[in-house]
Amino acid sequence: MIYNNNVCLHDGILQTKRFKTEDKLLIEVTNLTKRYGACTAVDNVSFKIRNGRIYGLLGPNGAGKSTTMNIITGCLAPTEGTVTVNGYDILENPIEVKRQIGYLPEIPPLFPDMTPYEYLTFVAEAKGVDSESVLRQVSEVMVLTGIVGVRDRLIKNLSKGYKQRVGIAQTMLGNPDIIILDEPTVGLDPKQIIEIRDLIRRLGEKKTVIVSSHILAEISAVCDHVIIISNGRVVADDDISCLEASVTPTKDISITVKGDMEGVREALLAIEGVSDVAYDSSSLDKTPGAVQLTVTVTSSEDLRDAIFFAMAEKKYAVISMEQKEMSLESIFLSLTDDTDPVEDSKKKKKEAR
Amino acid sequence: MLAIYKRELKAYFHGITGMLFIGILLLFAGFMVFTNNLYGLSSSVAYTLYTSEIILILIVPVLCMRSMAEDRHNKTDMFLLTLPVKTSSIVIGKYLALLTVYAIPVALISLYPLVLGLYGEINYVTTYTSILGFFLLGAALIAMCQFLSALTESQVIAAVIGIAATFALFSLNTIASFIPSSALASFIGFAVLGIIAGLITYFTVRNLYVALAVGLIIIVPFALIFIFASDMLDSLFPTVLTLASPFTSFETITTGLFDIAAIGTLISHIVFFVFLTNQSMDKRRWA
Repeated sequence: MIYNNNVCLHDGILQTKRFKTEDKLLIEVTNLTKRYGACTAVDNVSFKIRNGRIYGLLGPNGAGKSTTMNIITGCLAPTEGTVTVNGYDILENPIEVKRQIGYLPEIPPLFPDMTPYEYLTFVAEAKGVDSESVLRQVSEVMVLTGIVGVRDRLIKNLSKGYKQRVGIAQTMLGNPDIIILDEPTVGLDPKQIIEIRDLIRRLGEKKTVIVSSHILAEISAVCDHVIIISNGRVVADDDISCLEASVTPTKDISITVKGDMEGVREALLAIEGVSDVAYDSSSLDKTPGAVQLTVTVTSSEDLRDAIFFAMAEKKYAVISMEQKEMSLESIFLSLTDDTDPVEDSKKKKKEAR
Repeated sequence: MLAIYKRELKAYFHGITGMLFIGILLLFAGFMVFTNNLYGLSSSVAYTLYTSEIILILIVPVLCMRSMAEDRHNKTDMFLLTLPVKTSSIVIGKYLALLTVYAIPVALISLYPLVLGLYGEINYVTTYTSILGFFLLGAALIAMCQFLSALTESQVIAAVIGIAATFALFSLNTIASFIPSSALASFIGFAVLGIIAGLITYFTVRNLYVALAVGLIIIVPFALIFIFASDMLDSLFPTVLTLASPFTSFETITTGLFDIAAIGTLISHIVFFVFLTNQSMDKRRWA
């Protein structure tokens, strides 16, 4: 699949063009609601998952990500709403739905007393893979996830990273169209995280992958499309590039300059379009004899050239200068900010149970 | 179902549980054969089995404790639900694996009469009917203990409750003989039964209305009978208690009667508890 990051969903014409070859609705979630007693974990959630992309389900802890995934995979029943997977309804045709999906829950569902080989053979057989292809599929996924070397060790003796790989290997058996991974990198070390991300990207070349996470970097590293869930509701559902573009870009500049604070300030304020200059305490650059400043810009032009020449004129050395971008981080925070902390903690308790 | 059956069966023999179960049952039954048939010079294997039944109280709950509880503890039960198989296949697969472990010692025990037959007269019909009864008794107890294992995450709790429950069934005869045969006592007995059934339902499905309905379905008819035709209830409760115990059914079979009612009771025990296990697993999806 060739996917152009610059093409946005907002653009009607381009959208139809791009989806002409690949537009196949795989999962449709409509008005999904799940209540635990008085507590609503998922509240009227609707979204669509299309063929051949990597989706990120993002949200703070306890937002209802896992609950949504558990419902899609058929191990929880919704209170209200419908989910169809490849045209099959999860309540009317659960067996067929489960055949379409490979699912890795938050805690890898491993039997500690089996070896990865035995375990994968069991899963393949339980998924109804015919007996001639079981061996082939099992060796294929073992190669793909790099667990051939540990195939005959007991799962309980494996490291967390390998356990996670065995869990991911399991999702691919039976060749489902959709792979759902719930927080696949939690508790792994940075090297393992990179390896798992690579694996997810490789998976995404052939299949539709849904990854959930409460870590934004995770999602932006591997996903094409992000669905943000907060407090059981969908607050954003868009391509990552579109989400970034949807936020009003600022032209503010953070700058580190060698020189005295007051002189630099005056020189900067003299430039046309600069409305304010403030000391930036959050800057990581701690060069001795330099000042870190944030320049608030009102004009729509890029003022970096002007600032450079103004500084050069006064013999102030510019150590670094950077245009501030509204990052996904801030989009995420602004979208999930309006949560009620009391209700939130209640929900968390409920989920923990 | 086959995959789950195979996995479960392997799991019993990966660990010590399966071998321990088979070993203890054979040791105990062998000891009983020695004291009754060899040392006691009796030709009744049925009586030997009758004296062996007590060991099932201890070893069946220990065999069954991991069946459902372990998966709940490892969080693999939800995973099994995401596989493209029916809940009933999971439960029946697990049940059949337990049954296979139990069938191995019973198959070996059925060789005893052949050996004993070399040295004396054996009534093979009675003997093999009794062995069938012994197998069904174990199967009924396994079904119940599997259900108890489905109620908890803790294998230890499953085993302890299992031992208590099998022991309660074992002593149901004795308990029944203590209950007065008056109609009032019978009514109270059924009422208590209704309350217990209601409580079990409540803890299984966590729904007050369903639990009340189950309790009332049992209590109301007996209340009506008690009010309008109380002599029908005379000594009914102790009789029902006696008949309900799988141990009683087995004991009836060991007397040499191929009692259809007894075999029916044992089979309905199995069906009832396998059904309950299935419900308790299925209901976790709706929690």
